[in-house]
Amino acid sequence: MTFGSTTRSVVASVGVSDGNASTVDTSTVVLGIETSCDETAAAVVMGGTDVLSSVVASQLDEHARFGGVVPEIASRAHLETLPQVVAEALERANIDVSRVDAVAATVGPGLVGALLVGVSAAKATALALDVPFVGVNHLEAHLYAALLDEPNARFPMLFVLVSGGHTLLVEMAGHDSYRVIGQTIDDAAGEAFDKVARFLGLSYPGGPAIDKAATRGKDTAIALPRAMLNDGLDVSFSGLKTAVINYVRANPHVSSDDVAASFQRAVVDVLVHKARRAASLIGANTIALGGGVAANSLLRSEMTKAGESDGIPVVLPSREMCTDNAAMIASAGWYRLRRGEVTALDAGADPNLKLGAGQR
Amino acid sequence: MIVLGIDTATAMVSVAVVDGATVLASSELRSDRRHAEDLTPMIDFVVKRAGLSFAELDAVAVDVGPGLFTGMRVGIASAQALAFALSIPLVGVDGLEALVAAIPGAVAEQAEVIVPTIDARRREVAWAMHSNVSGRVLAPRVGGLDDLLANVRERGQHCLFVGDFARRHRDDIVAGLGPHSWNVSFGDETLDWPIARHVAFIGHDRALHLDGGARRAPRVEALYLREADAEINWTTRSSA
Repeated sequence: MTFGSTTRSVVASVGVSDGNASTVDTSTVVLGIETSCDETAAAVVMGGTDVLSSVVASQLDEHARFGGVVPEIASRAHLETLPQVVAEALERANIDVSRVDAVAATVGPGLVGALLVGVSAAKATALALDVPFVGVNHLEAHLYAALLDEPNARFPMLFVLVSGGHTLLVEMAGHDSYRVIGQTIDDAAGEAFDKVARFLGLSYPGGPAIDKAATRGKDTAIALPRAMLNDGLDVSFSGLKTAVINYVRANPHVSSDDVAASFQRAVVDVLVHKARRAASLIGANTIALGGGVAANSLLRSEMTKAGESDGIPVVLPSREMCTDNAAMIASAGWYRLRRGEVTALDAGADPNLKLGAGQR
Repeated sequence: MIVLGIDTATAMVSVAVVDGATVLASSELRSDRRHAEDLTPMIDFVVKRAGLSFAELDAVAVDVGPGLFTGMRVGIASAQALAFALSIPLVGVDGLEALVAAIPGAVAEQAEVIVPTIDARRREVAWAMHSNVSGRVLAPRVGGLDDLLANVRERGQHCLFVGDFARRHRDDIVAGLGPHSWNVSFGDETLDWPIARHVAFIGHDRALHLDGGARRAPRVEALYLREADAEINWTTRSSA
């Protein structure tokens, strides 16, 4: 079922090997670990949605001078930081490590060297504590970030995942049922934000910088394209990025706040338009947002407005749960455990793991 | 004192449980870049075959490099997590030192200095120099073979090379030493890689001298011997 040949399904119980198995329920404590990119994170979540602690150590400063994530630097920083991040998460949750019922870690997608730090630590912790290890798909976890506050949101659901690495429209008939119905054909939404911000000389990362600059600018100042608006559910941001660059080169004195506002409006227009279309197509009862770009103020307000006018509830993760964190990993892990899924200890990382790859 | 030793810093993956000078159980295999997949089940197997529960371990020792960066991180991340979850001390062991510890006494006695080598790729070698009289005389470093040989010539003593790199580059070493080459010998293939039992033995000796109990978040430094490459991955930034 999940993560290649190394995963097996067992009965839905934790503490399997002590012969005193207890079912996965609201008291089950999962330690989550996330090291897929440039955040080292650990969290303790009880019963799938009760976040007892969530600790994120960002490596932003270490990568900022390169303007992007340097894989070897990321791997080194994860190894160095993870022990104290895990200790901190348990202390803030006020529980001893022996109280942990299962350990979840991101197994992909992401940087392979970075992923392996978290996977190795999580498997060793599970082995030492004699509790299950469960590998989690990072993309799926972004959905569970949205469901943390709305665990009873109704299916079918349209899951809009927008981050620096992905832009996906996903139809979810239920938990663990993913069908990608739309995606970017070139740049991810967050990647476009990063590249435009860098071109405008704004700070890194680009998302928050553009969000802020846009509040000071006029979003109708520059006419920018909305590619493929009436053409299926796929999106494209590469042409938009090029249009921004060409416009600024031709008009060097333009206000970068106006550029940021106009660019952001174009991205949000496209995402909201495609989301409404997709939601109507699948008869969605909920639209859920996830990923770093889901922290964007305009996207949050416009998607919520669109949902209101279409009569479809929109669930948004809190801003801190949009970016990479381990609470969403622990949460996604709990849902997997509840379905009886345990990942074998010979699991590795899969840098190119797809959504629904492990679907039965 | 019962010590779990872990070594994933080279092409080998190995695990051992030792009690003092006795190996209770050990396992090793040549892992083709599957260190993370191979290591955790191997730890499980070795601890169980030693007839122990994890609660009976007194310390963890791990090879911190030099060697394969991703490999050493798998071992270190696992060892850090085990030491934390079990509230036991963690000891980092340099792999070159573990290679020297593996040399049988009768072999080591024939040399005046010992040079353990580990392939550092990019045509470079990680090495150190140990004297039979005064212990380690040159700390771990990485560089070209020429630099290594210059140090051996300067020393002018009978030198024993061990490690897979030295055995594979035997002809280059002999040629490079020229007139000094009568004064060298090479370890056999049993001394190609550092392995966990020697890491555990060294860890055992060090753990005996550690003061106090477990630390809050046990960690050890990896011995990379090289700065990180600043090769940027644009496409995997997931938190824009």
